[in-house]
Amino acid sequence: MSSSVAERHSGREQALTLSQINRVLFVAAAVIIAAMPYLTNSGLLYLVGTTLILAVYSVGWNFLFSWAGLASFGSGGLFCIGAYVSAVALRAGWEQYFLLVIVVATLAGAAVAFLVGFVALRRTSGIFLAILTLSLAELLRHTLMHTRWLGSEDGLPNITRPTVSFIFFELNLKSGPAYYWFICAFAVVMLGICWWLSHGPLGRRLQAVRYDIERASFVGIDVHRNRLLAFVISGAVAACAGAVYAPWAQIVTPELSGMIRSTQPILFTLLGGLHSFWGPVVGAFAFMGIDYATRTLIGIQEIITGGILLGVILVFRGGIVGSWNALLARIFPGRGEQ
Amino acid sequence: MLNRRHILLGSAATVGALSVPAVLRAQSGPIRIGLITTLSGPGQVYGQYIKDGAELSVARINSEGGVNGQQIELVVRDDKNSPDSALAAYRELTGSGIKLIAQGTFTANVLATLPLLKDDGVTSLVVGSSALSVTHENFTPNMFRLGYSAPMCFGGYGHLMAERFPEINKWALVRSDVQALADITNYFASGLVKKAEADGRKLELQEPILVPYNGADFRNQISQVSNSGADGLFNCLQGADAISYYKQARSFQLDKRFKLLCDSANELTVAKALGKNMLESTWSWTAWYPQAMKDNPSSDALHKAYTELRNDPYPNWYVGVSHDCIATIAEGIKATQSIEAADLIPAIENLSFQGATGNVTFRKEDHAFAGDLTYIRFGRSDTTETGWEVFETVHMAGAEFLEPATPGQKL
Repeated sequence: MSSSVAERHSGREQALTLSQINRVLFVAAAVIIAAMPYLTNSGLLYLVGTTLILAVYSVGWNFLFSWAGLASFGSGGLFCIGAYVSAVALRAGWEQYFLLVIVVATLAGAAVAFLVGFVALRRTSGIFLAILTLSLAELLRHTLMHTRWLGSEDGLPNITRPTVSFIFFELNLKSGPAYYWFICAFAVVMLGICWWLSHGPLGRRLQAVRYDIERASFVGIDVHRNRLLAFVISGAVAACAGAVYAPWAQIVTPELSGMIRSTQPILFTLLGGLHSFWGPVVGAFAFMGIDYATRTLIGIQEIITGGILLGVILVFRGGIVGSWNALLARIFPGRGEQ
Repeated sequence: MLNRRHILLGSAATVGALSVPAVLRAQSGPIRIGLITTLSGPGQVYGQYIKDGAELSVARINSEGGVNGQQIELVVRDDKNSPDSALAAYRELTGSGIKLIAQGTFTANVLATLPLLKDDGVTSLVVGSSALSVTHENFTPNMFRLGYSAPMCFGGYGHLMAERFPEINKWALVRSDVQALADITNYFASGLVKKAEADGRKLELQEPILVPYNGADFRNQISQVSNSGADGLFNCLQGADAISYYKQARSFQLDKRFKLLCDSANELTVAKALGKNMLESTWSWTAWYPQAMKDNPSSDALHKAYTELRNDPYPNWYVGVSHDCIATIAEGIKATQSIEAADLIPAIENLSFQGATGNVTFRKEDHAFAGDLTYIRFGRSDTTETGWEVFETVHMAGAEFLEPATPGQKL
């Protein structure tokens, strides 16, 4: 008897904290995602790979929104620029330099974001910035639709998945599982960089600007410069995601610059949780799950998906992440950070 | 920080997930055909016609005892008019063991899946898509296009108009500002000019007047075309744009200003939408007009079944084309007793049968459809309940107008 009481005491001492529970779940999810090629068919694998890319893209958008307090409705345009740069380069036979192509596409996205941000952020914010960025993305879409050498409305199909050359070896990414694991590695690297930026000095400066712009300026933070930097980083992440997406889908079309692509990160962030780094990632996978589960309900799929999204956003104001943390705190009271 | 305990717990959760069975299934039982089309969003109206046609085809085949005694099962997926969703649907279907696909109609969604067909050993019938790239630079031997290329369909259309109306020498052209419709307009113009020159006439073709795609107000352009001084008018607008355009054209009396009106391919959709406000008379291309298909039991049966299903005696041509896509696959399997691409492809290359749309046959070199062309003239009628009627129909052999075959290369 006394021994079992001692064991219970010992168990209580070793009980996981809430953040440790989340870490366990995170590891489990990461292992499952990495093992997907062994667990499912090529259809679901394609969806999960696409969702990973969109999750990274959404984290980049959320960096701008939740950290810098700026809403862009035209991030699809930057995603599209990255995708087209990658598509053109791979179709031109530069597949062995794919990593370099990703870098160039990222820089192209960053450069366009810099040009837009440099002008726009001085004069606009809030709804005006949202409409301006939306208009620019639409302008890009229409330009692509009328550009014959970029395939007009039909886009560029037949994009080959690359075999990347290194000095001593080659990395063959032509098969679905191989490219999927490349996407996993890409997601780890990009999420790591975004985490580092969000939780470092830049992230703190941006949050100071978002909370109180006058006070931040008073204490010596260059508001315009920091916002511009966030805009450029967000654009670079979107273009980088687009560059990785092109060989995965093997086709790019002007629709990548359309409203749907631009609103995806907003939707994922609202669903997953505003002001949470992992919110857009959780939102992206939740959306994919709902979409996949209702795929055969033709005609009512949009109603069901829309209803669920509306319900989650209205009832659970903190999104899935916020509500999950609140639920854990309720089930396991006193298990906060120790 | 993560420690060994977290990783062990995470791994345990993974083992649980691993025990979930994979969803791979072999093709067994009925013959499964995947249908990927647009069932939501702006293109939904076309996708629904395609789905109806395919389902009616499957129902007819199954009611006649199936293919070599085996029933057909149609597995339908929505491409949401996006290449991404089309790819996801394709990969899901092929991942579950399906080797036969029918897909249409928007070209970008079709182009997304074409590069995968050969490696996956899939035989695909493309429903309706007219883009040249499908059978030229993006050609793959595993695909057959039961659709009408712009040179065949609209080159033939221009030829027919120049032949039947030699008195019309001055033409105005109106089109939406998108590339696909620019191609259609160019091939119509080219067909007109070629035939006129062959007959020793010289035509005057005005520069196309551009209207906004997905626009709402076309009155400026209608006013411009009304004052063009031309005798013949070719309108190349699609779907809702065409309906608004013709509705607004009424107040300009467009049908009285021109001796000859040609609509590109909206066929009876315009008449059904305008009813008693229909234009006096216009021509249009159509792939299937059942009332004109004399002595075609396949067309009659489909028309009867569709009318019972939708209570609409004037089905859209996509119904007939998607019906014939499924029928093509069934005929191929019947001939080879196999669903493998290696057996089916040569069988379909040599097929020639009477489908709902007429003679179904493909050009061997690039798998382009080489069947019949149909054009109709219809307009306002005071004697019918609908307020409109079809006045005449013309059938032509499509193969005469097919562009040269250049599989794997741009035309």
